[in-house]
Amino acid sequence: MRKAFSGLWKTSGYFRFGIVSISFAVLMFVLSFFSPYKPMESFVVPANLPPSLAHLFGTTSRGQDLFWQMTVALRNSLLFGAVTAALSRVIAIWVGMYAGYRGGLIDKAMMAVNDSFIILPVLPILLLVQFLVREKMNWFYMASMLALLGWPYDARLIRAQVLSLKERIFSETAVFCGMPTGRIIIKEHLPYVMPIIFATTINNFLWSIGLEVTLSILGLTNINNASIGVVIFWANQHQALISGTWWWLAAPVGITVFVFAGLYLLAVALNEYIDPRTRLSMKAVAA
Amino acid sequence: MGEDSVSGPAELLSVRGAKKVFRLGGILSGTEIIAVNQISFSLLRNTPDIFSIIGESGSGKTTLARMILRLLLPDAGTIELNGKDVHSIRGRQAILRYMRNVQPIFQNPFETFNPLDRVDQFLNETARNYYRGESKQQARERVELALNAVGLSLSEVGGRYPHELSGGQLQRASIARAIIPGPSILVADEPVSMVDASLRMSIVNLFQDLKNQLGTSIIYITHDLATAYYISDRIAIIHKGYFVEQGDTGQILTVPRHPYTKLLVESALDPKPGGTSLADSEAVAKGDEEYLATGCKFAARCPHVMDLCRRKAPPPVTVAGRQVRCFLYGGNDAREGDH
Amino acid sequence: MTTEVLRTNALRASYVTHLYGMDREVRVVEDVSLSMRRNEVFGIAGESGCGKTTLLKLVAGFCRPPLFVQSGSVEFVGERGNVLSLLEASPDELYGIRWRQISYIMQGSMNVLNPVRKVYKSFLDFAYPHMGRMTEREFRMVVIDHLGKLRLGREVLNSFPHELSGGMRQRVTIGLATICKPSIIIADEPTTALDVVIQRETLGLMKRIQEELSLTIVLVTHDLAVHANMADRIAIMYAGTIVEEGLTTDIFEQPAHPYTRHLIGSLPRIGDKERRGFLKGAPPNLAAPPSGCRFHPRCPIAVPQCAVEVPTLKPCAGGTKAACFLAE
Repeated sequence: MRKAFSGLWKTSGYFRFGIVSISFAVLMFVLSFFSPYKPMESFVVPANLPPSLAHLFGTTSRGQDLFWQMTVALRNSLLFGAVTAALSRVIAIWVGMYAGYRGGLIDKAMMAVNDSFIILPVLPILLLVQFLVREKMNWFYMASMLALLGWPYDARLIRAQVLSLKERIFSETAVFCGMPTGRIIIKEHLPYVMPIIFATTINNFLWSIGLEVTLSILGLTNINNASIGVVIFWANQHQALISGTWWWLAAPVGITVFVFAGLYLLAVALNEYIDPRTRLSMKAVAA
Repeated sequence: MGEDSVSGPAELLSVRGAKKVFRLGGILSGTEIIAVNQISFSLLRNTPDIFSIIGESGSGKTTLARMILRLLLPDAGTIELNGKDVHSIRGRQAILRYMRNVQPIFQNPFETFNPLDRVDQFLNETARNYYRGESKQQARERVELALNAVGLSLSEVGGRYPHELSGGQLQRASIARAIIPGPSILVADEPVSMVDASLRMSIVNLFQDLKNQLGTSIIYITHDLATAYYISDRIAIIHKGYFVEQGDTGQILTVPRHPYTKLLVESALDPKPGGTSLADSEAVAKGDEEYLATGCKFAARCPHVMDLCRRKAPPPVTVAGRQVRCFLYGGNDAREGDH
Repeated sequence: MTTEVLRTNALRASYVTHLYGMDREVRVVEDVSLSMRRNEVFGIAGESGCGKTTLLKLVAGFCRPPLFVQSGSVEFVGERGNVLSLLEASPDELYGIRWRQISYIMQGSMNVLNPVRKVYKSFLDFAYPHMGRMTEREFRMVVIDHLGKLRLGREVLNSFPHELSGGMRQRVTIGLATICKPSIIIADEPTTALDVVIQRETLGLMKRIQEELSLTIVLVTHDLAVHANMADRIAIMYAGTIVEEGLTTDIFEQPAHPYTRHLIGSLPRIGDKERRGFLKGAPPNLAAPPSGCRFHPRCPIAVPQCAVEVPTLKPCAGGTKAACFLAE
């Protein structure tokens, strides 16, 4: 593990960037619990102050310390993304692998359902739901909704991998070794499926945060619950760009870009590392 | 274990009239290819035998192998092991019993093993699954014994990944894995075609040793006539799904009767300077469209083709101690068909 | 016209890799000096992993990291005696001789044709740029004529590769390699994995083209039976070094090097059931090759000197040149 980490750190710029970004995110996450202010309480500090040592990201027009607000906002956004990613993984992996292994009519039926979900237009549906049930919508329900919309592409990817794995000769050898199907799936096939699961997890994570930000900017989520999108919403409400309080927009946007880019590049670096082909060439070198 | 059968207790494996049809193309239009047609042969129980099946790619030999291995269902005919129909076996225990007796050796050793697993992993699995209740130590001993039988050892192979071994070593490891359950039949589909010519003999010698020392029968599928001559007693030449010639190896390969067999024997390169004439042969190899011909499938490129050959498929006749499907040697009862 | 068309001079090359912090140098071609003449079939025989494919890449002028040439050169000799050092040539110079002077039939060549382009388009893509001043119509006639010599009809031009049988694809590949009438064709395992009938056909075709156009074929394969029937001269390669070299008849009748003897002795033939022995061990790891003669750990007649000194190719009694202290 340590060797893998140090190897990756030394060789992959993406990895370094990603680790820095993650460290930053984790730091913010932890700090959020120490915030001296309640996140959405207003007028607790002087308003419209630019970034300074006292207020690292400046203050907002509503008299909030932007730095501490961002720690909570980032935390909430990350949690949101994590919930969506986790839930949709469960569905995608189950559907993809079951359909892939079963084949036949069950596979066809499941893929028909899968494809119906793919064509659902996500944003309009979310907008609709938001309009209808805004009061009762809390972020967990919204994360679940996104999970229900975000699994089909990945399920197909996983299924494709499973289909190809079934055809490989070593799968037949495994049968002749007397291995039961479940054991073949876990021991022989999972190492090939893992990179896909991993890559799609991060994608899904980022996608859901992105959607949440979109909806919040439009004011369609609970705007009293701090999240990155909500911060931007309020900044727009107070016309931050025009009135000169640029830090109010710069902080959430900058942090989002930094964390997104970092996570994405981390995924790329790790994915290349986990990819069976790279591992093979590494083993070749080590031999 | 004392299973008397209708087919006769002396037969270990009995294939009768095996047939497999593939449909290509869509549901509405589409062609049928009979990949395996009326194949019959048997392996005797108490006489271990190396039975070679010679065929080019697209001849149906791999389809036949997969039917014997229970990876494909025949559309007609029967395949019986010790008198029991192979494809009506149900239930995990019964399937395990079958696989204990019939094991495969695939063409490409690098595909046989999972590139991400160490080579001994599959060997350990095999020992575990076929000898439940044994300790880990006993299982390791079985693996070591099997590896030794093929000229390898755990110290050489254990803990290594497939790409760290050469093709020859890996194929031998694959054979070791296959003999762990103590099978009575090994189905080897082109086991040496991906191995260097100079290493083929070591593997082929191994097959001979397995037959002589362990009493294992081997179905040796190949297109290499020289190695088939070297180790097998009986041989069948398969062309577009039919056994066109079947019988004693020495006789068939030194004095071939069927025109296709003759073509194969002529084409096999003699490893002597100038040993084989390379002047362009008349018969240009054809592809799958030969499958669609009515009558004898070899008619399109047979130098002795007669009108009858294009209309009827020749039945097997016994000639010079072997079975041949060719109207040159008989089988053309004028019952059906007009001239 | 000079007799030599291509030569390598004491070529040494290795693969140098750094991956996730691990360095490795695989010395894959070690001191190889070969000379190929006009109008001959020159065979290079050896097991997988002996370096023959890498040698071919170098001979063809393809040398890219992680493959590095440590010393030596590869020289192509034109008809007028002009010498071009392939590994140092500029891309323009290489472009000038590719396909027109040197062409290739690579391993698995049947699958080298672009599956989504019709055969004629592949000819246009690969061969037309090298044909010199010629209109497209003229080129088309040349292609039809050329394929006709290979017993392929006009309809082949309009087909996609998957519509042709394996044997026909192989002929198309040979056609592509020969249409510019090069001086030398480099063929890497052209018939491996082909059925016996197609193999014999393909080899016969190659031989016929070679004789008709008086060109040189450098044929690389592990199958000595192919060399026996095709090559005029053979070089036997083991672990990156040439261990024996000579006329085909001499190599088969009086092989001097123990490895050559093993290779020849291990070939099965119809009509011969005599049990054959095999060589223990496996080819060495080229990242850490044995000292001295690279074959000595597996050699049945090795003496202490073999582990210390590296033998060089010297003429032997049977007419071949062998790198073995015990063969002189």
